[in-house]
Amino acid sequence: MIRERALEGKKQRLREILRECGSVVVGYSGGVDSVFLARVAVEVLGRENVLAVTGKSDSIASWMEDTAREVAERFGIPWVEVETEEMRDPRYAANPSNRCYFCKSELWTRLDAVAAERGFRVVLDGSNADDVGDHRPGAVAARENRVRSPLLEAGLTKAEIRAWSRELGLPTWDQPAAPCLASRLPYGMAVTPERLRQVEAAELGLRGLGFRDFRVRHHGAVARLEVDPAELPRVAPLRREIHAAVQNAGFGRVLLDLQGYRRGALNEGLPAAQLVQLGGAR
Amino acid sequence: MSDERVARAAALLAERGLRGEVAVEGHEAEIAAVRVPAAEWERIAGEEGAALADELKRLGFRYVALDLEPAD
Repeated sequence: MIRERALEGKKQRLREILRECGSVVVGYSGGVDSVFLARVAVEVLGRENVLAVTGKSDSIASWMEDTAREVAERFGIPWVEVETEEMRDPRYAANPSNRCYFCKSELWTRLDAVAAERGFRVVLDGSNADDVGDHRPGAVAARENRVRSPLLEAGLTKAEIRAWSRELGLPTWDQPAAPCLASRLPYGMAVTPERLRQVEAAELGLRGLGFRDFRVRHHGAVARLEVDPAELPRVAPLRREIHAAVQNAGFGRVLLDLQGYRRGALNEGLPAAQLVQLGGAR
Repeated sequence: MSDERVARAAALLAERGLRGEVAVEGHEAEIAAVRVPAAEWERIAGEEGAALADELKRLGFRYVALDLEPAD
């Protein structure tokens, strides 16, 4: 009962924040949080006061773009795509541990321009209350560009957003987290369109075999697969198909991580001081 | 350093009764690539594999992974 009341308070707070904003551009990746935010924003502010914008680049998986488009059409969310050019920024392409800062700086600069041109007052992102405390240099870029985070401000957690998304009939309610493809490359390995295409092709292959929550980590000629522990028993019977799908994407050796998929695996073994220092740097 | 880790990793596999071999992969030699016969897969792709990974990581590997090309 107390929990329900607390959740109702958060929902009320989210609506108040959106009304304060008046008209909004939503950074819209096609993921759970941004889809939810755009959907609620349309409900509260009306279609004429909302524009969902997807940054289009090689680092975004094509299936995410498809989801963004399909959900926008189905739920009447005004939507456009803008090209982003983070790949041309050598600071991004060098793939330091604060790579996300340069990508998000580019994204928010573009969305700020869209908002200014079309007369929208505020740019929003889909950060939520569970995102606080992670190594997230992208959040620095959001702050610098005066991007508001209504889900975080309202205190909504990922689980609450998933539950509310389900109530709203959003197909993304149980979608696994899907960060950009560059997150599959170890820090220090240059981000190139070719490597991103390899990752995407391999992941499409595994998706086609029915795997849901996994990552294909790029280690040069080697692909290291991180599969959700619950899905590990499916690997042995599908070994040949998995091997073929990943090799067809251009990898020579295919390895299955014995600890399975876990968030932030590429940060493992890196000194915390290095992450913090790089995270705050420009 | 790699050779020493490989020998110790192979010994750990043997202690668990696993027939197999270990190679070093990754641009920073950070991956232990374990290759075992296909018959061992179900055993290693689960809790026992995760425990083995913990032990191999203590040798200095950042990741421990099963080679999807079986040893037989």
